[in-house]
Amino acid sequence: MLYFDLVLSFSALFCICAFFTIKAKLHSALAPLVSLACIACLLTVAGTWDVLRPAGWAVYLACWGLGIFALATGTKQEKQALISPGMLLFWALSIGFAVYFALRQPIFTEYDEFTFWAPAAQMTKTTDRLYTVGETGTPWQASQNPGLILIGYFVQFFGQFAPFKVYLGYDMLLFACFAALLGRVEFKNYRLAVPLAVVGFCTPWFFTVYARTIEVNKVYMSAYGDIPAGVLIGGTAALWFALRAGNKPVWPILPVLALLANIKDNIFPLALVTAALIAADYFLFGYETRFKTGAVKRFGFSTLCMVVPFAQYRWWSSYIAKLVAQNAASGGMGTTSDDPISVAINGTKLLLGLSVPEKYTQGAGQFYSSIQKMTDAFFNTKFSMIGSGVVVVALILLVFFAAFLFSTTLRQRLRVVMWAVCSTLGFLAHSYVLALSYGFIFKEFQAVGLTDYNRYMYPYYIGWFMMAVALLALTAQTGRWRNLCGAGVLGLAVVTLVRVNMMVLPQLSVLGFSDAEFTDQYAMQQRVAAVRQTDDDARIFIVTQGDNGIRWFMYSTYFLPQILDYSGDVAGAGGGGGTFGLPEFADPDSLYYHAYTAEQLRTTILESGCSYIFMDKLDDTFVKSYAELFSDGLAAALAGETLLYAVVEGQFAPVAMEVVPQ
Amino acid sequence: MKQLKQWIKTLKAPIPTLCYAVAILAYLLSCLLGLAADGVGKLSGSFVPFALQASDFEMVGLAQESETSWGTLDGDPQMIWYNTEGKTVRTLRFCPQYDIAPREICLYYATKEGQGFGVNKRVFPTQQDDGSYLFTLPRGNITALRLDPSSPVDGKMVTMTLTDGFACNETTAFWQNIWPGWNGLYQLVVYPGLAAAIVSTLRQFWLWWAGRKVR
Repeated sequence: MLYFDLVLSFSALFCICAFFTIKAKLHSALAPLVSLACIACLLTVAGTWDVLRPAGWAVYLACWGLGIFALATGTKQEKQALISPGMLLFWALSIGFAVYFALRQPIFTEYDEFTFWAPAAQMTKTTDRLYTVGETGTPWQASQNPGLILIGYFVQFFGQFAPFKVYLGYDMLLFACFAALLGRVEFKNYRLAVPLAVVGFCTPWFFTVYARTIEVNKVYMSAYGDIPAGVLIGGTAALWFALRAGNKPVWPILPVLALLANIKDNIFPLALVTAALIAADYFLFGYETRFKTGAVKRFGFSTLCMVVPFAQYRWWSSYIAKLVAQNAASGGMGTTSDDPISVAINGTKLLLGLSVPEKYTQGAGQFYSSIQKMTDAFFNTKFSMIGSGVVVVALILLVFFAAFLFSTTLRQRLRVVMWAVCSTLGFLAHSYVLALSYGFIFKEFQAVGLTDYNRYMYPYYIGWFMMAVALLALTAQTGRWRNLCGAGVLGLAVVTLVRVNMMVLPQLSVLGFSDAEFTDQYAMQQRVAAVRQTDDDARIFIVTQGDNGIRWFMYSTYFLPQILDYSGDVAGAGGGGGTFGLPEFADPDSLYYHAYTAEQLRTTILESGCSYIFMDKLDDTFVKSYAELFSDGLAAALAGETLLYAVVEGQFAPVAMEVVPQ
Repeated sequence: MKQLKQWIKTLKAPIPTLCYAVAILAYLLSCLLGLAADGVGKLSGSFVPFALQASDFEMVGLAQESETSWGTLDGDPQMIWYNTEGKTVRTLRFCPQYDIAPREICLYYATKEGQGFGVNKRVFPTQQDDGSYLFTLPRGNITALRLDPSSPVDGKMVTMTLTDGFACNETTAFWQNIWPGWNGLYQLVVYPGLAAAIVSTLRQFWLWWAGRKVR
């Protein structure tokens, strides 16, 4: 049965959710987030031990076993607790998206999906090993965290790899966060549940779309980690409020904090901010009647909240450090970018006027200029559907103020103040870390243009906003003037929905995208299929003149498990696409120009160990420069009769094949 | 009416149930009215199948290469048809053949005289089993159509061959007239729910204002 793997993964997830709800007394709206986090953590540990396949089986069997046990032994009342608005929202959205994606089959299209997220997800699924040990043509070590990728792996564990299943896994994490946002809201309080669901569903668009869409917007169809990270920050806070509101065991927050620290490198500081907020909340406000009662216990758990993300970070870092050392020993690139903690320490010392290594003194100008540009951007650049960063911050603080206003007791109000003030400090800290990154880690041109600035900022805005909304929703259930407070949440829902409707055209979003969006990808896949028919195991050298790297990354993904050579100047980091030509034809405007003589190109190809050369795109420069190297003078490729030349005894000869015109 | 009130009282969640019922009924009614209007149009002769030829279109960015084929001149080829006779247009189907992949194909429409074409009035085709492309337009006045038959990448010329012309207003299956589309389905789920939340909130305020005991 087609896509039966999704039925199996959904059943396993339902079973473990049922177990948590029936036996661990976790509210059913919170169970999906905790379950996905537990699964991601277990698979991460298994992945680093390189036992992903058996661990996958173990996770599935455990989910089914525990779930069946819980369902078989649970009382009727316990089973009734399985149904709640949050739980219903999660499963309705998950099943709806599964069916919709299976019919529409969205695929990867964006640059950074192909530079890491797509091939990593594909390699992990197809080899049942973490992408960190999979072979690709890139000369650097893949070191990004695996949390999301392993959720995508879990969803399609028993089936064939498909990009839409990766999207589905990531979306399920988002839906689990929306379910946590609904938290303990009951069906009879649907006037609060529906607006919360709408706010949750619209939030990813609200903070990432700044003008009316003119091309397809990939929200809910993206393998990037930024939006999931932002939503997970909000979901973690919402989960925490719901756990505390029920006065039940608080342990379920721990796997979720571990997952938050396991999404992306640059999200780790945000995970720490979230963990610190939760730790402070529990220590300061987690008492029953007297602060001193149980203070030590609370302090212990608060410390644990901080330790868990650090432990996750250390676990992954030491695993990567080991791999990088092995890679260096075997001749690969043995370094990654600067350690963010060293950068933070030295950047701060620089600001305080203390002595720092020369490298940091040299980068000071770039650092100060980045701070200036980020300040300008905060006031003048759009970061949401309602305006710039300052407007977003004002909106979020307004939501916190509403929660403060509607709180009943002094303790509730102090709690809101703590969350508002500390999350604002977290925002400043995140901005500071980002300024350090632009100053000392990123390249100069990236700092000048604040490249991808919004992508680094919106996870915090999304998480911060959801955090404030979750607190307001809690107040609407426990505070005073609840109807008025609920009306505030409803107002937020209307504003977000109206703005999303105004700016996101259905046919340019997940709600109705055209199949033609993927035409270029299908064309490339057809070429790969044509080349594949010729030889399945060979390493392939690529010629794709004028490429800025994107076609190399795309082909590299589509060729997997076949290896597409990095094809070009590795030492100068200019391989992977680009333009080949004689030094005298070098165009200063050409990105990644490989100025090789004919003999140098011949040697490069021969030394690369490639058996074939894939002629994706030729131009006059290539033909004039290197036609002599090919036995037919490139006649077959120019006539559209072949895409492939075989490397035979130092000669390059055309391969007879069927070529589909592009 | 009394019985209806009694029945409403038996509902566990009357406001959401009624909101969803009203939305679904309103949607089905609009479908039926549309079908009825189509029926009347067919009887009166205003909504009838008709054919268009390539010569009926104003070609922009396209050069005729033979009697049935056109090559693109730039990255934004357009075929514009002005509905000077005020015909009702609901669907348009054509079966082009391309020498290389055409990439995006779409149809813009204008609803008023002199109105420009924009992205918010655009439909995408669904490819049929015979390889033809079918566009379905919203009900209402259509004054002009702009067909973008391909979206070539810069520097690449696409040659389109059209042997059969364009078929408009072909008979569609019944389900196609009531299928709201994916976005329509999404709206049918979200809006009644949100409407119920608004009505319920207003009711709470009303009960509070009226000084009655709030449930």
